[in-house]
Amino acid sequence: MRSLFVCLFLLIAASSQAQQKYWVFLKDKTDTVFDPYSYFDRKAIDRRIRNNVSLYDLTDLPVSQIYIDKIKRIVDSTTAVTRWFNAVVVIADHEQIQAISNLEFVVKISEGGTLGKRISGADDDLSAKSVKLLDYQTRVLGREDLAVRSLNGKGVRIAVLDAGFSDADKNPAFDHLRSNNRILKTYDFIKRRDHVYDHADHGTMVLSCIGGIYKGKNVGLATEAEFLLARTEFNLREPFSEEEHWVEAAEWADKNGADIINSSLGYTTHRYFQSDLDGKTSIVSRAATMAARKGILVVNAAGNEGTEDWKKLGVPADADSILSVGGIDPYLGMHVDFSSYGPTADGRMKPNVCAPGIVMAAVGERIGRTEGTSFSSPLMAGFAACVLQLHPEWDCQTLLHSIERSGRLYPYYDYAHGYGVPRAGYFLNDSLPEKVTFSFELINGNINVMPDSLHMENDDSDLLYYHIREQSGAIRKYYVLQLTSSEPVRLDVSAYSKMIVAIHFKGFTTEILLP
Amino acid sequence: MRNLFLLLIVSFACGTANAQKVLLSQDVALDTIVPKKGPNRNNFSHLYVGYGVLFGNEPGGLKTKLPGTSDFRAGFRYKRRLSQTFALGFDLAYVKNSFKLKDTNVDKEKYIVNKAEGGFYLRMNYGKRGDRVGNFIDLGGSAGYVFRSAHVLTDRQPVTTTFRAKSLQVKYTGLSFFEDVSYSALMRVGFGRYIFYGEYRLSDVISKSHSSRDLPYITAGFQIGLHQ
Repeated sequence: MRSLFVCLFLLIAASSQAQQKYWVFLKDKTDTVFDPYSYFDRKAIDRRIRNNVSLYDLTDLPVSQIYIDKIKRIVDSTTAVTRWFNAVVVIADHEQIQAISNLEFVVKISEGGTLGKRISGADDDLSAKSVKLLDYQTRVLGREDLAVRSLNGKGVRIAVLDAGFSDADKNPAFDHLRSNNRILKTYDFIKRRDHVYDHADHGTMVLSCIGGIYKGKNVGLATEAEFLLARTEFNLREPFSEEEHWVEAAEWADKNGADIINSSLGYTTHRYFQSDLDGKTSIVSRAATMAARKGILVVNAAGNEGTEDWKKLGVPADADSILSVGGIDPYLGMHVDFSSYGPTADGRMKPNVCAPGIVMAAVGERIGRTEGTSFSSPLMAGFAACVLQLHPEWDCQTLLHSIERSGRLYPYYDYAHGYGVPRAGYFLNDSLPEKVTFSFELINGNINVMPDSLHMENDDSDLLYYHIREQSGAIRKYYVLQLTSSEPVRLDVSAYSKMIVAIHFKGFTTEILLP
Repeated sequence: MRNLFLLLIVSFACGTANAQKVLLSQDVALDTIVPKKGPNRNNFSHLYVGYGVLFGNEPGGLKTKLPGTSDFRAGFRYKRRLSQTFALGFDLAYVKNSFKLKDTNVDKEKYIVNKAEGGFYLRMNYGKRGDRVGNFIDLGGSAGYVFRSAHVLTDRQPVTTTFRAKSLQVKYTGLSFFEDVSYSALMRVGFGRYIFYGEYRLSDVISKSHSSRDLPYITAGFQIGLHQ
């Protein structure tokens, strides 16, 4: 019996040394041949030219087959190969990984991983309330203005990276896409097959918020866009392999000419610390930035951790040069409580903008109410496609910064709303009239704000935003107040000498440097 | 609670409760304080409960029945993180062991041992993780003080009918032939809050001076950590 116990102990101890996944980064790409014209879709070439990005660089070259073969001779299996990072993902035990580390062309070995978080819950009844919600989610972004100019994402290619697209091949919200063959390619990076219409309906809901039409009503704005659908996420579990699938799918989107990637994914506390949210630590965030450098606008959900202990955004929403989208409550017109907060660990403002976080979306073969920044992100991706249709000459960073400037709060910002909900009118020369909606006075270090009664509507829309920030731009505190009368509002800022107070009310922003 | 507190402060500070309502109040500095406590921070502690079975005995030892020979424990566990891979910690627990004897002259016969147990362990985590307990193996030892012991005999056909009872139970407590102290080697394999545990008792339960026949010395069971 004692020997049995010892055996059990050794067995379990040995299991800790069992095989696990590693990313093996390689030194160079020797002996590789690459022809961008045969590898890339024509649209990918056009996008690179438009973004003033070279047709290809070292990151586009394939991984050396010689290196891959040498690694395969050591390990039992490889699960992914990424040319962007010049890496091979392998499953190996301790001895095998030691052997790989001794290969002269291996520069680094690391473990990998990510984790997703989504909220969804839908009813399937188109009640009057549902119709109102459906109308709001695109109207708030300027659906009517876009329709006047026939801006519907035509000619723009959007890749959707998600957990599965169940019933997207049947749901009437996508009839217009199917009948015009505008779902160009699909690929399931988990099952390694083309079929993506099963496993989960999260991607179906997300897709509808980009370009769905249900009973003649817009669910999203980019109803004439072209789509690439990639399944990268497991539905009920969150294995580490999702990270490599995301990277592979981003490369696939690049190859197939995507202008925009929508990723309603967020990986938080299970795999990362908040100090990791610097856009450089997680492989997914680095891949998102890489995609941006190749001219793709990456739109990512901020996350649904606002009411959780984590509270902050997840990865890859922390990535630099991408559009991270927070959620607003359509009934309040401001931050919805579950939407994750910024900034990033290195102090960059996130989210960049926000969009409705409670929406109507396609589910099953119908439409239902659901919530999460997973749906704010595709609404914004659809919006971005319409802007890109209007300005096909813009590179992706011009597009990103223009969308930020179109935010209703701009130039005001905070870490819950970014620059607020973008407005299509901004791109259609429909500039808002310059109006002064409040006055203020500085008394004994405090600020008295006097809202102009002409701009008070005496309802939920009378929201006054203010933040206190350092001169470097880093916000210390920020607030949203609902004004219930036009009486002066006293802001106690006496403790913040030499800092800047920015106040926004009804489209007008002013900044005050405290003495 | 923190947000509520801030909300109250801001409402008070603004001093114009009649003119406004605070809908959002965020202090960025409070969000950027790196916590020292957490499942994968410097310090972490939690309560746990566990249930297992006792088995394995020397040839000639007292034979016991399963189920009925069990280990119940509830305790407090502390972990001090040394690195992403290693941590040290200790347990304080109440442990109740029941040994249901197989060879007996009555219907049921069991020994019960109640212990206050303290343990220490070295934890080895594997796999990348954020602020989570993650997957781990613990190796360590424990020592327990037996503060109560009992020998319980139950007979369904009592020889006396004085009390017209269906069964007669006799309980002897404070067994002098039980050792006061026990010590064990322990091992745990954990997956977040779910833990398989095993203990190998190195001491005797029944004093050698009383009998050479001892009770099972292996414990195997399942624990749940009461944390996220």
